[in-house]
Amino acid sequence: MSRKGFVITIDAIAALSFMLLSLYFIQSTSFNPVILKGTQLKQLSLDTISVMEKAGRLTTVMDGNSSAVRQILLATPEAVCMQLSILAENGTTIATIDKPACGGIGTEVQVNYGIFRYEDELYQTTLRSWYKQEALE
Amino acid sequence: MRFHKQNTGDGTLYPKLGTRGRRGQIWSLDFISGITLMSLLILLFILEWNYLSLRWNTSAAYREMLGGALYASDSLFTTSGDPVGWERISVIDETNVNSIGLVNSRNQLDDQKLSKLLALNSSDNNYSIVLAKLGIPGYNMYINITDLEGELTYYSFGRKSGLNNSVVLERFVILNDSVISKAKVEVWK
Repeated sequence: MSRKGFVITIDAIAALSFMLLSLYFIQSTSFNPVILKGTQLKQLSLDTISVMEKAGRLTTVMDGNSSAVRQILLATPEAVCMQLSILAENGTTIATIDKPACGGIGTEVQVNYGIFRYEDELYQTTLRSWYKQEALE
Repeated sequence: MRFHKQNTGDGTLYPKLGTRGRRGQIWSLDFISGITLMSLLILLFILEWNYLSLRWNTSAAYREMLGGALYASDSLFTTSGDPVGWERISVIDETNVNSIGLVNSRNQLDDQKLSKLLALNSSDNNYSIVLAKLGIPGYNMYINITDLEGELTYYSFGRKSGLNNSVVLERFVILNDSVISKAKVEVWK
């Protein structure tokens, strides 16, 4: 076998392999718009705090009934998880309500805050929100 | 090239370019296999590039629609519009309204603004003006305001998409100062 031809063949195979490998990595690039999904989650979270406060759902929690808040959390999209906490001015946690079927705090959590008044006292709402992992894939 | 001893008398070798030797230079097996391999590589590259271009274009179009939907829904449900009393203008055109908003306080729908928007649904010209003021000219939009379960429709505006290539956002709004409702905003092309 010609040594020169053998070298040229090896060179061609190496070049071909490199090109196919490059195309494979380019093809496996994710096309998900991550930044816009984060903005979408932010909008939803601020909406949730706003409507809960304005429709008086947070005061029902102070009266010991969290079902009204749970109803709002359940109405969010299935891919979204949320956890609402209410804190007194001194930092004491009054209540924590989780959206069901979310299995604990996820990664890449957004935190948004609100304030409402109940019986002449100010309370802070903290809403943690994240996407379920399978929704991002 | 083959070198043949020419009969020059002094023993010097000169190339003898006979027809048989010339054919071997052009039609060798090396040349044919090289051309074939290169053609296959180029074909593979073109196919792969076409596929990636399609994915990139689809992704870019989706991102543009999602961005438009985010902006439009924010304008509707978190701002009062510009001018603030835009709903009192009898005939809305490109020059007398800068943006359209449905609330006086975040997420809390104003009945008059909502009624005015629904009235603008009656003609294609007004519908186009609404889209332009929401920053999504060249697209279509459908807004559906329902109960929290999404079963009972209270209000709807725009043109519904019958296709799958649309972006849908869900927002919360308050009707009549106390009823929490869901607003689905769909943008499509």
